[in-house]
Amino acid sequence: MSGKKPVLEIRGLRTQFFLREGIVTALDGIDLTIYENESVGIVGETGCGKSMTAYSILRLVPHPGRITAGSIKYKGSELTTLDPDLMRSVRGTMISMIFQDASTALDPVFKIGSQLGEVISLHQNTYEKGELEKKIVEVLELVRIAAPKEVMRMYPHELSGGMKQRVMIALALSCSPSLLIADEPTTALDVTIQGQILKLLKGLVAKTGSSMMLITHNLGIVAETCDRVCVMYAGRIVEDAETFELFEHPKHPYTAGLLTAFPKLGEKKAELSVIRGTVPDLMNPFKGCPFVDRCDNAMGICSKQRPSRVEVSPGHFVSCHLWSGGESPDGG
Amino acid sequence: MRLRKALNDRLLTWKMAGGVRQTTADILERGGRNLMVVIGFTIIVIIISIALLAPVLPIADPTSIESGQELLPPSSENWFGTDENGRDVFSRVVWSARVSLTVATVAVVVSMIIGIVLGLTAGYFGGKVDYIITGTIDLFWTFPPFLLALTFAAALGAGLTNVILAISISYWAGFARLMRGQALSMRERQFVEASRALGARHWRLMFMHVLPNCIAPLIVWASIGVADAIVIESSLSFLGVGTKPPTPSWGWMLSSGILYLGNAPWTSTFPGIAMVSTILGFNLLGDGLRDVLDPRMKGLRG
Repeated sequence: MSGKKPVLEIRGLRTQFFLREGIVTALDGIDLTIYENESVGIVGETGCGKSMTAYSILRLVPHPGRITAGSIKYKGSELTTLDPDLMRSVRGTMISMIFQDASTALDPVFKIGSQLGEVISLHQNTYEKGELEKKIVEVLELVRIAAPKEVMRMYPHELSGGMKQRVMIALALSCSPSLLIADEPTTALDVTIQGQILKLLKGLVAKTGSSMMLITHNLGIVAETCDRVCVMYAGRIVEDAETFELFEHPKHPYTAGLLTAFPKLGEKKAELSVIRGTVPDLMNPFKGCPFVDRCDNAMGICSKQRPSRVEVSPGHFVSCHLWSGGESPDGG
Repeated sequence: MRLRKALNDRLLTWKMAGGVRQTTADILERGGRNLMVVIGFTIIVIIISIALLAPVLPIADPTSIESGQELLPPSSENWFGTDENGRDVFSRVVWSARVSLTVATVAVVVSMIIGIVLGLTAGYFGGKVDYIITGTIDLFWTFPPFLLALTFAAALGAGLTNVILAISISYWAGFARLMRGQALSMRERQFVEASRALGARHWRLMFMHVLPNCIAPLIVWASIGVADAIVIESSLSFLGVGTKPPTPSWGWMLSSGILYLGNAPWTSTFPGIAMVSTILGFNLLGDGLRDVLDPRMKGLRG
């Protein structure tokens, strides 16, 4: 792991929304590093800040939200203070994003070919018609679309959901970015197509040598696709480990809870175990650990002091007092 | 196995290409089935062709004054009769169509451009920009377009260009309002966001993604707008602040014919009929197009 070069380094990222009712801290001190050729899964429940992390990286946080602290470095250069014009050229060429629902993410009034052509000509300055068409066919073939020439001349409504998501992936990959952010790319698809799309994504990431940040709430998808997993809770990354390690030895009580709440095939349970309570209100700042009210192992310190990030074993980070107490806190 | 899958995919693609009709063809077909669109379109085509062909049609000079021919009733010589100056009313009605259609079309195009640019900017950017532009729109929207046009025409003086200018200034607010509302909802759509995430510029997002998706209501509004502009132009001419007298105009013909309504009703009846049918044509087309382009808006009138 240490030999790999980082593509993206996020340190202490904080994104806040300034509403009339108060300040909502959507992201509260995110630390995340994505290395070359690596697939990182971001897991967490709805509203924990998974998508907001993606929007913050691309600096597309919707109004009235703003990045208020921290740094995002892409291959060593800072993105949070980058000139807006340069930031725009980063999007699509260096960092790309795939959206949840391809049927709404494609413009309904343009043919597939012209939408792909738009991105390619925009970023690669290819304007010659024949050359452009060749490149469009190339990316469509890359995402295994049969008969790319016909698909090019179709409107989004003429394609199936799976085909649309493939086109979306082609759009995102058309300028070979080094980092691909996939925001729940398979949520809108049925299970068989889900498998195909994930396999395709995994293959393409390996083939093009780019890194991927996969946002999902489905642990099964993460287990199948990602090298490393970050578990998010209430705007923080609470645990960060390699996939196998995380599933075998979850350290944070929240991760452990998630894993036991996930039903296993062939296992008989009278009732699914749940994590009691609900997510804390992000409008009220909390001093300690955000999980304290739902945690079975909560101690006195948990509601008073914010747990620091501790490396419990090589490459396995956790933010929990259960572990920072026992181990020496020099790892974080 | 893989070959078979590829073949299946290919078959599916072909089926889909044939099974789902292309959007443009679909709209044309639905338009052809809509009675309002067909009637409106036919009326407009007839009037536009007559107007375009006016210089080559074997009709009298609309401005030549024939003494001794005043106020003749309709005959085989003068189909619509002659006016108080002995000019052929049919010829004047035909030439007026040219003037009215030109004024109305140019005015609508100009106000549409102003409206689209301002409305799109306001709706897309929001915030302070929106606040200022919306305020301006509302200021113009407060007054009926005709009253505004009358004020501007009176201030600018009679003449073709001034009439176009007056109508454009008073009519753009409707387009701007419509465009702003559309842009406001369209900019939140995910394909705009997706395009932004792939590095598109503001102007590209505005004109390449937001605008084309809002075009249908604009077409409807433009068609009804042409009818409105014809009414405004004729009314201005009727009141004497529109086109200058030697230029034939329906409104001016109506007003000059009033004096002879008792003994020579043809002088103002025929231009009136021509005007009403043109306006009817554009209104029918506009209403029909709304049903064709956006079935959800059925029954609403802006």
